[in-house]
This record gives sequence, structure tokens and C-alpha cells, in this order.
Amino acid sequence: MATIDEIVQRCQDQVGDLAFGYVRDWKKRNPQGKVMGYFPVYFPAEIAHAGGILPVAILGGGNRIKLKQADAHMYSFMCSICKSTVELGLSGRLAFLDLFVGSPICDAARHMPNLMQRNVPGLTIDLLYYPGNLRTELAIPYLHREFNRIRQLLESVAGHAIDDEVIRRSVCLYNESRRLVREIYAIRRDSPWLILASECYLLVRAGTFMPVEEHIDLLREVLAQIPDRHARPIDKIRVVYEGAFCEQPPVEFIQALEEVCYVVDDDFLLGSRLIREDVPEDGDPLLNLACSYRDRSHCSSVQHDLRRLKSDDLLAKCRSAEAQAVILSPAKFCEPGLDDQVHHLKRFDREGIPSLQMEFQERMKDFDGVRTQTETFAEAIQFYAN
Amino acid sequence: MSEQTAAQVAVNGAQPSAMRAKAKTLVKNAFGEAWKAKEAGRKICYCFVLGPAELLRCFDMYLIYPEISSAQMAAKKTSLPYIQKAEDYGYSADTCSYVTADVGLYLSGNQHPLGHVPPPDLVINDTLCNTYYKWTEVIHDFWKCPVFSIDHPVRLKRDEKYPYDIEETYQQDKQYVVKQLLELIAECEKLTGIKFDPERFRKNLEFGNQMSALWCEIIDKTRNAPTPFDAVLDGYGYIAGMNTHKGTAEGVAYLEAVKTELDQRIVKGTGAVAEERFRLLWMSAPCYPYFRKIPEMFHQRGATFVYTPQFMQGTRGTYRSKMYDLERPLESYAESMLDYFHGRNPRQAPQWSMGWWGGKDDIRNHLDLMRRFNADGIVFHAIKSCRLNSGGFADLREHLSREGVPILMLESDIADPRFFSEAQVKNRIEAFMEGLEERKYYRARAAV
Ligand code: SF4
Repeated sequence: MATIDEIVQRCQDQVGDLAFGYVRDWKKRNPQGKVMGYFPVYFPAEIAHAGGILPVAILGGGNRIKLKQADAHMYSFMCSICKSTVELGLSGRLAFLDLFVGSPICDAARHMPNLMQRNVPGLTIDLLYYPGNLRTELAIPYLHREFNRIRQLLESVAGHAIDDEVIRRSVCLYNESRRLVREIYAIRRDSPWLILASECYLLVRAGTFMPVEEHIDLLREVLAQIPDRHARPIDKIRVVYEGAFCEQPPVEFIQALEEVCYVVDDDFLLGSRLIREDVPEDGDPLLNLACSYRDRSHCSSVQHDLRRLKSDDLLAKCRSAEAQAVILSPAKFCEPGLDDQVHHLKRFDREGIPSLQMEFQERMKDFDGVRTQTETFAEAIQFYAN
Repeated sequence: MSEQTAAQVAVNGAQPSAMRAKAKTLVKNAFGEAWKAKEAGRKICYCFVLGPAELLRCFDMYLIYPEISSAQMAAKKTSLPYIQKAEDYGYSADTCSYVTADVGLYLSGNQHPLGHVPPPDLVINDTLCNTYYKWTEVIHDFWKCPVFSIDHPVRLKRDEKYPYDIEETYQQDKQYVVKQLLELIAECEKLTGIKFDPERFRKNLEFGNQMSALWCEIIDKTRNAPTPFDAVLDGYGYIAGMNTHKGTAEGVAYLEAVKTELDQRIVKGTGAVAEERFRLLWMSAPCYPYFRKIPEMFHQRGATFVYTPQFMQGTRGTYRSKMYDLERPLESYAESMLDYFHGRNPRQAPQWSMGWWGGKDDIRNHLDLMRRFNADGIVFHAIKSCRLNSGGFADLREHLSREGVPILMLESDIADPRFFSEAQVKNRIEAFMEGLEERKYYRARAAV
């Protein structure tokens, strides 16, 4: 049996593979199988899974991709994930996709599918439009219809009907995978030395491209081994990280943070964990998914729901994780994240909870600055605590 | 020179449009009277320019337009201190500068160069851009006021066959918007104590129809050579004048006056520049802190702007071939919101799509505009802090250059003067104009 270290390493290799080797292998093993890609934050993967389609999150090209073509087609002040996703398309790396679904979650992401449509011939593209007004009850029937439309789209890719019963079974599987991820997060909150944020990130990220059944096995394997891990607590401050709901920082960035502190909760890969409770397993599955999106989800900077303040959510996260501070770190040029950074900052100032503000970029390669900034921040907190 | 100052005389001797100056007065009054309205007990509603003004007017609400407010700060060359205040407060220089200018206003006791702006009793946003949603959240953080979003789904124009019925999707989206409008009506009734009067709404839409008809005539006048007005320098003035008076008799009167003036100019042969040598399309909003400077750099070379997609895009309700249907006002109103993205035909992107959602149609549309307005080239104004406007320009440039369209890409910002470099802009314009001159010369020679 592979150790946690080995599993994490395998995930890291797969995540860093710009050729999507894992997915291509899956296609070879399943010659009739179809693959759909989606742009973050969230996609109801259950519907694709029920159709026998492998849902793959297209999360940009990280810090290994060179922008050879995208820069000529894209505006300089766009976030990196949009550019590198277009680069993936222009360079033919997404040729394995049978469908790509984008979501107009922000002004930058509105352009991206359109750019792909113009410049990546042969790639079938559509949009999933999430309701912009979650305060109203009308959002639910709207989203229910939208998920139905997506079902029709996926049926055309799969070449057969995707009925409710099969989706319900997929919902059960995804509930299980979300439960296991929640368990790992609970361990991190409790004993962060047992499983690091960077390890957890890679384990969750693996679920963005592998079939959910395989991911469940992987998570179970890791969870079974965590209690036996030889790790001792170190005197580090406990922080919650906020800002990576869409573009993801390089794993080295997370490692640089955790050299200095325990990251006890975060919003990395938020889409995979957006639904915070089980989706009901009986009844109309698409309606259940729609209701869960509105009423059982974490906040993100691109969901607009003034029934609750985003900073209430973050504060609750900090309190339940007994964090001493928060790191507010949106992606460079990510306007929704940058705006929320101020919203959180003011709230945390009022609550007397220290916050560190920094920006990241998926393509960054130098992490000394991140380490130094975090060290200075942590020292100040420890100094005042003592 | 009734409503214009000597400074407004165009640099190359042509007479600027008097109705541009009139627009300034209209906008100034719209701000100057806000506090009086508040004191008279009227509710203050912050509503973005594409918002449901015709509907809100049924509740006697006083409308303040946040983008116009920020644009005015910029045009009056006062935006920078406001923006810097917002940055000191924590906002990033990468945030939309309309938003940061607005935040700066709140941090300055709401003292706007055009008057004291009252805080909102209600904020309404829509789906033109996602920044509206974030901006609304920012306003909510400051004023804790009720917020209402009118959500109209964005669909992607697709070339292939849809596996679902697009017309059905459109009809469902329309019902979704209609229901939201009904919720908005209920919220406004509660807030103002005024009962919704369908007749009054119909009347406002009728004014809206009259304004649309006039506006469509006005913007077509630039097809005349010489064009009687400059699409940037005058056109944006007209847009501000009409957007602050949508669905009103004043709005109709204003556009009638614009039309009359332009007809007279055409008869007299008065152009936007004294000798029109080049006709250009302007893509995007202007650089408001240097609102006059950039167009004037073109004017000096005999170039003028004959069209901008913002004529349609920045003025919801005017762009349709169909008017509001007064027999089914709410539905028709909802259609005007949806059509903004689709055009009436979801298989075809509207002509004002600046590379956002039209796929290959966006290229064809730009080429059609070149022909329709007999243009010599396109100027893309990439706005540093507006990803929605500018995000598609580099790609459009790639495609249109391949079609042989002369393109100039300028970079600055809508409200932040720090992103304007006079020397750089001037050099680029000079080089572009040289290119156009050469092209003209060789074409003329080839024709001999
Ligand atoms: S990182 Fe931010 S700006 Fe970029 S696509 Fe995601 S939400 Fe939009």
C-alpha cells in the first residue's frame, strides 16, 4: 500500500502534468468515454458523471506553462488563470475535451469562452450561467432549469439520456467524496501537523480530474493512515487562508506559508467543496443540486447573496478553526477577490483579528517574499501573544 | 456661442455641437438637485446606467447613476484624490477606477464636484458587468441599504446546433426577468409607499420609444460626410444627457434638440472637424480624465470618430429594431434587458458586442461597421481597470488585422489619470495616422 507521502507525490505529478496524462490514459482505458472540462468555480459534476462523462476542472496552467500565444490574444490586466487556460486551448492541450463549459463569474471569465470559441476550432463550448441574485427564491427554479439545460447538453455529448435515477446515484457518490474531504479538513483544524495544507490541497485537486470513485478510494486510503503518521505539533501560529476560490496558487506558495504557520482552513479549490453539506439523495436530483448551490454552500467572491455577509462566513471559519489570524490573498488582477479583501479586512480589523494581505499569481516562481512577509506577520502575532 | 465657451471650439476650427454643452447642464442639474429631492422626501436610488430607470420613475425615486458620478469626477479632473482615498482605505489600483472613485466619494462625505450626493435608500444593479455586483456589495458595506439585483442571464452565441431549444431558453429567461421585475415593484412600493401605476410605466416606456427612435436617427447621421458630430467628443455627451433622463419628456426634448442641431449642421456642411480626412471607429468608453485631449489629437490630423458600439451598448432600450411593446410592457422591458446580450436572435451576436460573447460574429460585425460608416480604421481604447470592455480587444486586433483593417490600440483608463501617458499616446496616434496617410496615398495612386 502506498504511503501518504507517495500518494501526495503522485497527485503532485499528475497536477503538474500539462499534457493531462491522467485524463488521456483514462480515455485510452475507456475508448467510448467522453470528457468535459469546466472552468471554476463550480460545476455540478454529478450530472456529467451520471452520463458516463469524466468532468475535469480546467484550472489554468500553473507556473509551468509558458504563454506563447495567449498574450497576443489577451488583455494584459487579466488574471493568470484566464490567460493560461486560453493558452492550454491555443496550444492544443485541450484537444481531448468533448465539451468545455465556462461560467461568466467575473468580467475576465466572460471573455474567456468567447476567445476560445473564436480561436480553438473544434472545441465545443457553452456557458453555465449561475443566478446573479441569490437573495430571491426565484434563483432556485431558474437554476433548476439551467441544470436541466446542462443535462441536455451533456446528453448530446454522451449520446444517451441521463435520467434522474442515475444522477441520484452520482449525488450519493459525490456526497461521500465531499464527506471524506470534510473529514480531512476537520483533522487539519484539529491537528494540522498530521496533514498539511499543501498535502490536503493536492489530494483535493486530484478529485478535479479523476473519477469520483477513484478519488473516494484515494481519500479513504489517506484517512486510514493519518492517525499513524509520525508528526508532532510545532509552535506555529494558526491561520485561515482566503482568496484562492478560483485561480490557484502554486503548491510551493502554500508550502512557503506553512513553513511559518499552520494553515488550518482555506478556500483552495472551493468549487470542489462549495456544497458544504450532503445534497439530499431523494427526490428531484437537479432541484436538490440547485437548492444546495443556493442554500448549502460556502460563500465565494463570485456568488452574490446579501442574505449573509461573506465576512460572517470567514469569521465563523476562523472561530471554528481557532485561528489566530487570517491571510487575505486574492489572485493578482482578480477583481472580485480584491474587492472582498477590503470587505474582510475591515471586518477583521473591527473584530481585532490580525490579517495579512498579499497577492499571489499561479505563475509565480519565487516564494522568498511570501515566506518573509509571513514570518514577519507571524512574529508580530507571537510577540503580542507572549 | 450660446452654451459653449471659447475653450470648447474645436481645435481645427470646426464648431462643436452646442448640444454637447447642453448635456453638461442636464447632468449637472441631475446631481445638483439630488439633495433637494432628498429633503423633499423623495427616496434616493443608486441605479447603474442600464438599470430600470423607466420603472423606478414610477415611484418618484430620485436616481443617481454611480458610473456617471465617477465619470464626472474624472471629466472634471478631480477623480485622482478620490481614487487615492479609496486606495489608502485598502482598495487595489487594479479595481475598476469607477468603483474606487465612488468609494473615495463616500470617504469624502459624499462631496461630489457637482454637488452633495445623498446616500442611497436603495441600490439596483443588473448584469451588464460583474463589477456592478461587486460595486453594489461595496455600496452595501458603506451604507447598509437595501439592494436589488436584476439578473439577466448571459448566453454564449454558438455556431453549432444547440442540443436544447434556444427559443425556449430565451422565453424562460424572459419569465425569470419578469418575475424579478415584479419583485422589484413590490420592493419599491414598500419603500416609497407609492402604488405601482401601470399607466405611468407605459407612458415612461412611450417616452423611451420616442428616445430610441430619435437616437437611432441621430447615430445614423455620422454616415454623412462630413459627420456632423464626433462620436466620442459629442457622442458621449449626448449619451450622458439621455441616460440621466431616460423615460422622460425632458429626455425626448433633449434628443429632439440634438437631432435638429445635427440636421442644421448637415445642411450647412458643418463637420466635427473642419476638413474631414479620415473616419474612425472608437471601441470602448473614453479616457474621461483627458476626455477632450485624445479626440483632439486625432482632429488635428483631420480624423474624426463616426461610431462607437457604446451608442447601443451604453444606452439600454435604444438598440433594438423593435420598440417597447406597450401592450405587454413588463415582458417587453425584460426583453430589452436580455436582448442586450443576445440581440433578438440568440444565434446572432448583436453589433455592439465588443468581443464579449459573439464568437466569430464579433469579427464580422466589426467589418460590417467599417463598411456601414465608411470608416478608415478602428481605435481600440483598452481601459486599464475595465476587463469587460477591454478583455477582447487584443484578440479582435489579431483577427481584424488579418482582414486588413488598420488598428490602433491605445491604453489608458476611464477615471484614473495615472494611466495616461501623453507622450506615448501621442506617438502611437502619430504613427497610426502616418500609416493611414500612406494607405490613402497609395490607394489614390492605384485608382489613377
Ligand atoms: S481568478 Fe478572479 S478574475 Fe480570474 S477568472 Fe477567477 S474570479 Fe475571475
